[in-house]
Amino acid sequence: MTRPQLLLLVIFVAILFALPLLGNNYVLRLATTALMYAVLTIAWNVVGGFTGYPMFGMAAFFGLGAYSGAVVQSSGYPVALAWLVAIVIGSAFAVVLGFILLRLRGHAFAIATLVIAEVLSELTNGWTSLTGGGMGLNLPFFGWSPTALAIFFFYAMLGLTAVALATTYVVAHNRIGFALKCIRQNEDAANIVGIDTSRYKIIAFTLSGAFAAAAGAIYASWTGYIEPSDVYDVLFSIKPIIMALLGGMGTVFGPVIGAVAFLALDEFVWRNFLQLHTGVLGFLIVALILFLPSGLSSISLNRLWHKTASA
Amino acid sequence: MTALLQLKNVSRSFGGVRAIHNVSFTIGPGEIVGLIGPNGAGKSTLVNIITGVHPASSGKILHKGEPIQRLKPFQISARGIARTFQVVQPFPEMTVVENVMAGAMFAAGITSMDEARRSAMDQLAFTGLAAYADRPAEQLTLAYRKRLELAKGLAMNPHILMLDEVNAGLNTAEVEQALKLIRAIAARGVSIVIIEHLLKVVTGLCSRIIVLHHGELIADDSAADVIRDPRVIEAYLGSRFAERQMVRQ
Repeated sequence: MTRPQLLLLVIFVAILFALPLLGNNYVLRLATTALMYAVLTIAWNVVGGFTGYPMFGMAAFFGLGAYSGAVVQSSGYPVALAWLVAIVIGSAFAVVLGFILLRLRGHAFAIATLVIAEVLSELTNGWTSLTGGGMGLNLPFFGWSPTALAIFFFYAMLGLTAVALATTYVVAHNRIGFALKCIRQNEDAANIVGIDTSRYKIIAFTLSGAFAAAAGAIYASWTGYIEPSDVYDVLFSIKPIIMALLGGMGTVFGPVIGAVAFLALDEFVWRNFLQLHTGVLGFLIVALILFLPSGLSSISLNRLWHKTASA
Repeated sequence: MTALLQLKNVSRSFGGVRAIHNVSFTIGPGEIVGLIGPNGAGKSTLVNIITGVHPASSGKILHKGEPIQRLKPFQISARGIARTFQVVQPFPEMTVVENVMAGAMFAAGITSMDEARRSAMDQLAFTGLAAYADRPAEQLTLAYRKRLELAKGLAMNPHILMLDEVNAGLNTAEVEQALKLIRAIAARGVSIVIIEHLLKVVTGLCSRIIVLHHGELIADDSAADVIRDPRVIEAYLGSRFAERQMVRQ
C-alpha cells in the first residue's frame, strides 16, 4: 500500500468511526446501508472477482441469512445467537450448493445461481408455520431509542465489513487467493498444476455465503420486519455485481469503494432527477464502466498525488 | 524392479469412437520415450488418460505399482506426473514467475510463498526465462511460452514429464534449444515421454519409441527398429509405400 492510499484509508476509517457523533440518523442509516452493500459486494467479489465465476445468487444467501436470523430471534433467543445461526446456515447451504453448482461454468453457472433465490423465496412463502409466509415475519422490538438503534446497527455493519475486508485481504495474499487466481485464468491448467479446484472453489463459495448471510441477518434485526419479496429481491444479486464492476473486480478494496460510490451516485441522482432517476443512474454507471474498465480503484492515487503536488 | 509407470490394457471411448484401444506399455526410471503416430492416432488422448483429464474407460494405470486410473488430475500431478500441453496453457495475466510458482506451491507442495518463488526462479534460470520473470505470461513469444510450460512442469518436481509437442510451431534454432533443454532435464533423472511429429527429433533423443495408430499400439521398440517396422511405415506412408520398402530390403 502506497502512502497516499494509506492516508486516504486512515481518513476514511476515522470519518466512519466518528459518524455517529453527528447525531444525524439519516446519515447513519445511509452509511449502514452502504456498509451492508459493501459486505455483499465483498462477498460477491470472492466468487465473481477472485474466482471468476459469474455469480447471480447473492440474494439467496442474503435472504436465507435474514430468515434464519429472524426465525431464531423471534423465538426469543438473543440477537448474537441469531446472527451466529444465520452464518452457520448460510455457510452450510453454500457448501452444499457449491458442491452441486460449481461443476457448471460460464452462462450455465450464472443461470443456475440466479434461480436459487427464487426457489428459496417460494419455499419461504410456502412454509407459513415457520416463516409467516407471504405475511412476512415481525422481529421483537428492541425497546431502544431510534438513535441508539441507528448507532448499534451502524457499528454492527461496520464490524462485519471490517471482518469481511480483513478476511478477503488475507485470502488474496495467501495460497487460497493464489489458487483462486489460477482458477479464474485457466481452470484446466490449474487442475494440472496440482490445484484441487473443487475444494478451493467451495472455500470461496462458502466465504461468500457466510458474509452475505451475516449481512442478511443484521438487516433483518435492523428493519424489524422481513418478507420474501423483500429479502430475496433480485436487486440484492445484481447490485453487488455492478458495485464490484464500479469499484474494481477482483481487488480487495474495490468492492467497498464501489458500494460507497454507487450509493452516493444513487442518492445524488435521485435527489436531482426524480423523474429520470434510474435512467440517469444507468447512464452514469455505463459511462463509468466504459471509461474505467478496471474500476475506480484502478485510479492511481500516486499519480494524482504528484499532479496536485506539482501544480 | 517396478516400472515407474505401467499401462495395462488401457482403453477409452468417446461415445462410439474408440480413441484408445487396449494399450499397454511401461516407462522405466530415467528413460526418454518417444510417443509417435499419425494425426488422430490418440497420442494426446493417451496423455490425457494418464494425467486423469479423461479417465480410462477400462484397463489399469500403475504408478510405482499403485493404481492411479481413478485419481483426479491434481492428485496425479501431486504424485509427480507432470505434463505440458500441445496448445500452451499459461495463466495469461499472471507473471511468468507466478505461473511457475503455481506448480511449485500445489503439485510440489511447497507451503511458503517465498520458498515457492525461489524454486520458481531456479526453474526460470534453468529454462533461460529468468529475465522475463516479472512479465505477464501473455507477452511471451510462442517459443518462450513453450519453455514456460517446461518450467511450470519442472517446478512440479516430477519424476515423469510428458511433453506434448513442445516443438510444434518452433523454428529450427528454437527446436535445437528446446532439445538441449530436454536432454538437461533427463540428465536430472526425470523420465520423459515426448510426443512429437518430427521423426528426426524423436530418433535423436529417445532410447525407445512407442507408435500409436488408430488408437492401438503398433510398435514399442528401439528407435532404429521402429523406423524400419513395416507397420509403422504403412501407418505413416500407406500400404503401397510399405510394400515397396519391403521389396527393396
